[in-house]
Amino acid sequence: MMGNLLTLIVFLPLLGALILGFVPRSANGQPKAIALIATFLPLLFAFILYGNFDSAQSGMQFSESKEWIHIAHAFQDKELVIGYSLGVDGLAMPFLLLTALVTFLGVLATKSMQRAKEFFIWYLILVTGLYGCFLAQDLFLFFLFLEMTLVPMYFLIGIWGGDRKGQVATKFLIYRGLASVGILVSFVALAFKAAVVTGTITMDMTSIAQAFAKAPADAITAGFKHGIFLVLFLAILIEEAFFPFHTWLPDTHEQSPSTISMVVGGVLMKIGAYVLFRIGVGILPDAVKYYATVIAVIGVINIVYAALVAMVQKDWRRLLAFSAISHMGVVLLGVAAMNQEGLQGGIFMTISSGLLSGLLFFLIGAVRERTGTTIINALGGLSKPMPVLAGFLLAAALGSLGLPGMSGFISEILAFMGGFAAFPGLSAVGTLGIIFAAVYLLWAMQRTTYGPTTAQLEGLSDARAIEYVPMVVFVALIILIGVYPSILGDLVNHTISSYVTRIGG
Amino acid sequence: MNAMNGLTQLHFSDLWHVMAPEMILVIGGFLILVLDLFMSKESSRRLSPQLGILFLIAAFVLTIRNFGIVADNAAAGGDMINLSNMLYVLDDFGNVFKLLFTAGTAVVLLMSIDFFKHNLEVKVAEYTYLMLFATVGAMVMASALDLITLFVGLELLSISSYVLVAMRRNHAKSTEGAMKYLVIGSVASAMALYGMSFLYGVTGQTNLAMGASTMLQLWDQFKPVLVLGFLLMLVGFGVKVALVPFHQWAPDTYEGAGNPVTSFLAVVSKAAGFALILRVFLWGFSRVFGDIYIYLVILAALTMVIGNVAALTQKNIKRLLAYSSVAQAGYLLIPLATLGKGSSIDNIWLSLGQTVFYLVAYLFMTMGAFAVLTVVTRQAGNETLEAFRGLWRRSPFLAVSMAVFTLSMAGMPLTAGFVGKFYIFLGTINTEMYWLGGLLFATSAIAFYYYFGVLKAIFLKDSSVETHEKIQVPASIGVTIAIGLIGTIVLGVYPDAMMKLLNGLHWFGQ
Repeated sequence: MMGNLLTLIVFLPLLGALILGFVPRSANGQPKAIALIATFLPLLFAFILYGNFDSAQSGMQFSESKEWIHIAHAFQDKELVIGYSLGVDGLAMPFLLLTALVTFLGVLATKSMQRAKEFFIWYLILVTGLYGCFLAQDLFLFFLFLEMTLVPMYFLIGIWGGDRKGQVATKFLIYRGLASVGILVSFVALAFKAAVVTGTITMDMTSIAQAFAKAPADAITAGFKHGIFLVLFLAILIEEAFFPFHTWLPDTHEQSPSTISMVVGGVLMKIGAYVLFRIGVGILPDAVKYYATVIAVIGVINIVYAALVAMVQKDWRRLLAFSAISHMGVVLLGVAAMNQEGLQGGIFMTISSGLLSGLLFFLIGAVRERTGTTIINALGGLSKPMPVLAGFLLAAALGSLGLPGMSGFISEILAFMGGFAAFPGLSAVGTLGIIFAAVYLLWAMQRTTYGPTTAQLEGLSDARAIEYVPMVVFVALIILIGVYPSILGDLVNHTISSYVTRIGG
Repeated sequence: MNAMNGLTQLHFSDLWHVMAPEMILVIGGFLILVLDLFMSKESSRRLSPQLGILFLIAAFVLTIRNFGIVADNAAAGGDMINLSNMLYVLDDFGNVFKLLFTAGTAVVLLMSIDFFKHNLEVKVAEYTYLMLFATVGAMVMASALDLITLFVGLELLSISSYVLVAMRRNHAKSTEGAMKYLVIGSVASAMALYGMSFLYGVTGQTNLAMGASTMLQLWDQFKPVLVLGFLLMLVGFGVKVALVPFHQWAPDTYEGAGNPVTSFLAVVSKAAGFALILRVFLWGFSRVFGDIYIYLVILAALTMVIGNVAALTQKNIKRLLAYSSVAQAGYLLIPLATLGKGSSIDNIWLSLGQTVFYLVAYLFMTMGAFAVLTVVTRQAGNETLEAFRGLWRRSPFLAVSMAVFTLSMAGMPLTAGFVGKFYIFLGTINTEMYWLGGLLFATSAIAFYYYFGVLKAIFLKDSSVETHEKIQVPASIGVTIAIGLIGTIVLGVYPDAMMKLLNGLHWFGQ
């Protein structure tokens, strides 16, 4: 039974989308129920896999592999077999769980809307794409799933978005479309270079990584590695919305429906980080090391710049977008350090930022549903009419600014520990970001929840029973990782150790 | 074949052996021509296209039979099956293209049945036999090995096409498009012929199979002249397949011609152009490709960039598809261009596979898109993007179909276009032309803008009030769309069958 669970996880949402296609357009509530089932089952399966996962093992587990496309003469007279192959290792597992959680809670958080059936069709297609990105073991398959997220996102923003939806949907499409070009070029270039070394062509990530690890120094030139890494890194900068390619993210968050903001902030924008770990660190560690200073500088610029920009934002959603960019800058710093703490901190921060973004965008969505706005100055005194929502918002903000005992804290500690070991000066500048985060988050909190409650905000309802589910689950996980980091650390440690041994750090 | 004193005496059986599909279409064309004289106008209008489709199917079946003949011959280790000292050959390269041409033209005629109902000034019998003759021209372009014969094929296709574009006689744009096509097309033919004359001048041969080896010996000595000949031919052929900067006729002609004729130009005529390009350049120049491929690379890059950028501002859907088809020609040139850096013979098989796969994918998605377009623009009464507004409410079937075709052209996963692009892309990386592969996908990302503009009109906008009624899809158009849909999705999800077929081919008879 464990044999096909990964396929089920990836394709159940798509199946749900297909079924939804046959539901009459007038049906009320049915679309959401189907979407709930189609995202809950993968969540359940993901946890079953988690329960059976052997974190002492470093390779892929629960692998499934079938030959899919045979391309003759792809490399000299060799045939390229593109595989439908899925698998999870210690690196993919946290992302799998994050995806499962955020996408399910996203459906739960979705309010009734116009054209609900179509919304959930696109949403479920998106979910399949997201799962696929983290589970694919074949580069072609990964790219296919990555592209698969573009189309539904275009429609989800373009139909259900805010007043600039058309423009922002197109911006999202073009930015991420161009990012995937860089990813594709570097992936396939890696595959062909590995083929030169091994004599056979494959797109399997593990085989390529092994080929690169074993290749004699003169077989693959440093120049090639550096060049390809630059292309890949450029793509990741766009994909992860790093300065100076970040402008699509605040726009997307501002214009998306809150469910989509949850998924974008929680999962979609973490794909770039996953690629950075899987391909950058996993296959091209020497190149990462070579460019470590550049990466660290870009990381610190993002930490500080995005935090400063976040301070002057008038809209909660834009503020959170910049806050996320600032946090992901910490990931770059951790990766650049290329040591156990730094890499671990990078993964911790990615997952933590995913959880926090999911929670924060859910809460802001809930506030918006009640007050009709996310402009910080238009809110105020929310703690009186909705104490529970305000309380959770405060908790999320504290988690985000790195309060000890929550996931943000341990992530920052680890990443900066790694960072200080490698780049003391830069890391010291980077810590400014932590201080700035406290300023912009607490200031925004103060203007939102405290102070006098304006007349039209009085009498608004507090959290409904169903809304407790996402809030409690997110906060519980954020605290769990904060107080018991090994729950995440045990999963990823083995993979990270293998990376670190390879670079001799 | 009886060879006497170096001359070859041809018998009908020899002809039939090598060019049965061509002959059946010629017979069909003349039959329709003659029958038209004896039939009433109504029955001619009704029967001609049906007869045409029937003959195309016959040619299709005969071509399938030819695969077997080539395979048997190859298994027996025989020489390439040919007529008159390699004047005309029977090989799987030609067979594959003939399948494409006959299938494509059959679908075009199927679409035309609806077109005739709404364009009474079009003479159906003439239209039909011109289509058949044009197809024969295309087949000759894919199978001849002699420059003169190739040129005759090219002219047969071109001249038939000029007339086909002008068929809507009461239509000013149709006449304008035909005129432009005629003038530019004739100049292009002249250029190509001029280029061929240089090859003849140097080698003393018009036959590619024999001329190539002579040329190889004389290459260093006569390089400037031969490269000039190559470039002139490239310009001439480039006009036919609408490569930038020789593409200016395409938008006007595509816009002016009736929809089925436009799709014929976009698919069959373009595929024939590529067959010719491959035939001439692979046979004539493949061993000196390292010296000349750079021109192909430049043209491919220019075509991808300018085709896609020019499409960004188009509001007329047919002009948009015209520019899109220009851009696709750029993608299609890449497999040939990569041969300049590929050292092994295997690269040729890869390049041929890529070209044919993409052409087949292109056939399905383009035919489908034009079929949808026909119904939608007719109902709306205009050919702008506005015609597609709110289509998802008026006809979910047309909306979803158009979405699939557009996404395939944009190169989105699980469609034929995606696999085709990826397949071509592999070749660029294999030969370490990273920037060209990057450009292929980067220009596709730019193209998202206008392809998604179509989707935006279909799904994101509500239709204007007056066109809110449901759209009726005529049966012939419905079948065309269904063929396009099935092809696009099957090739996208399960390309392996097609890949295996391509791999098993005896491209040049061996």
